Amino acid sequence: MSARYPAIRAKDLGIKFYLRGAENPTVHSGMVRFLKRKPARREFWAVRNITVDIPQGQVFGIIGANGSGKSTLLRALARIYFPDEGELEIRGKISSLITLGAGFRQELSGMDNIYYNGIILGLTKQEIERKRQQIIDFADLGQFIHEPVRTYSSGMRARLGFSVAVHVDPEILVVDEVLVVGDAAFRQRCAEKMRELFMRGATVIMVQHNMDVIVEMCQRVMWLDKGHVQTIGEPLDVVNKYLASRNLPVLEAKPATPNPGVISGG
Amino acid sequence: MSSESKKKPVTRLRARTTDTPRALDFDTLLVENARKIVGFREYIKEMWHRRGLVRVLAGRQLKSQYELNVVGFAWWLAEPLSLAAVYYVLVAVLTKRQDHVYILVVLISLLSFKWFQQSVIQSMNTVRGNASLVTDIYFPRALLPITETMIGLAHFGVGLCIVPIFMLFLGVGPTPNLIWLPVIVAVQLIFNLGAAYPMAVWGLRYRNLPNLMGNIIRLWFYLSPALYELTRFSNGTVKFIMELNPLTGLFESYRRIFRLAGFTPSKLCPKCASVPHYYAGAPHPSLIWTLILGCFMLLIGAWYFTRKETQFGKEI
Repeated sequence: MSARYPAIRAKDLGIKFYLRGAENPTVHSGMVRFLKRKPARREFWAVRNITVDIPQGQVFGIIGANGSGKSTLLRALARIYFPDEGELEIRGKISSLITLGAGFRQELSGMDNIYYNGIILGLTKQEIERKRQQIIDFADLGQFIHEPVRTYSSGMRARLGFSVAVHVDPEILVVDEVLVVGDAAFRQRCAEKMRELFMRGATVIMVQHNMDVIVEMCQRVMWLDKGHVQTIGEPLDVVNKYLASRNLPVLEAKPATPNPGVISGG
Repeated sequence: MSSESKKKPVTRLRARTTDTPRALDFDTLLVENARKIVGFREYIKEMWHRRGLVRVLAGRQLKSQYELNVVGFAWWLAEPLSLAAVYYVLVAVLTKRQDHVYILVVLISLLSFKWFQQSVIQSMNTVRGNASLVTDIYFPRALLPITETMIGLAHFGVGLCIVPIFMLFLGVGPTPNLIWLPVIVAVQLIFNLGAAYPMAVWGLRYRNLPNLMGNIIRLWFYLSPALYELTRFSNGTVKFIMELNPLTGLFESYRRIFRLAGFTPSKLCPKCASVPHYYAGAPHPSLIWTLILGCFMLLIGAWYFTRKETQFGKEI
């Protein structure tokens, strides 16, 4: 077995937000607050005390109810939110798929947006030139690739966004619930592409509400509850505990799941 | 740990709130109070690595703002040209100033001022304007104010293209002093960036700051020697105070290298007082003051920005 060093290591990680109510901070209100010396904001810890090691090559799932801090944690792992508490160590090139087509320009064609989005996601000009055809084929938009993105349906936009993002070839891929886009054929292709990434040793961290997908794809799962880690462990175990806590029917164990990724079960 | 793992680029992030430095079970002792353990040099490296982003964001902005064709270029020029014309007519009427070269004097300082204004005002909106990027993708945020400054530079460059046409018509010949142009542009770039970085932070936090700053900057323009020359002041104290204004060094220097400095109503010949006398020269000495101030602002501003950028994703 190859060396499985931690791709991501979090220690007592905490992310806090400030609640300001409906107040819109202005120069005036800032001065008033300064003169009165009163903090007009309350702290809110979206996630706290997260300690986890994610080895390189693992597919790691995060589950939890709405508002449990999944997306916040994901953004923290993708370096978008800086830790307010604790430490975070990331090894390798990281790419995030939080919103598909972040930074798309509506008035530009799909072709131009491949270029722009590629640069935004960290590809070089040459890499984009090399991968352009692959990206186009994967998105499978036909002639619409030359039309402005504002004319696309949400599914088409998501397909183009996903296509660019997976061709960044990251060592660590952070995915928010975006795999639900597209039709069955596209989802099949996404799953294949993801599997290709795992085979290359990429680490994948995903948030999902679809428990079947979690059990099928992940090797380890974290259940997040109100910003704290409830359990980390075997996918089926964790998922069933989570489902049971919400009074939902638990999943049956599938005896022969063809999952090439499972080596040691984390 | 295997040799393979040593080769990977490691990014360590640590909250500033942690009180004591601890030896971790990683192989490094993390330094207290560091923004990122990767440090300033690594940040610069990362910025350099992602420099394509500036080109893409600026190019995209310019492309959607004005289609890149002849009409678009003409549109870029419309504003400084019309403003220069208005000021020219106004001053010609009010002061009975007769020389036509004055329109070029105003145009040069207007172009330079517009670049400064654009850098500051647009930087205040840049983080919110690129919200979908800032909340979903990691990249060094310090590239955003650079992008806005570069867009301003593009406008400035196009504006400078019409200056030779005016020079030709008004009979202002070029002089070798024009080789100073890149130096002055570089000084202004540093100064604009130095102003843009803190403004990007405050503009995001205080939503009405852009309006307020718009007024302050306009006032600043009238207080700077843009519509009038520094040589008009004979009082040493007033002149000194004017020279403390960092924009003075820029405006006067642009004028000097384009052979537009001066207009010294000659004391020797009272009759020819209204006859304009323009001369060329090396940049005005107070440009050095602008450079020093600009470097200082850029260092402090960039440091402040990198400390505050960690909260941008949440503040939007």
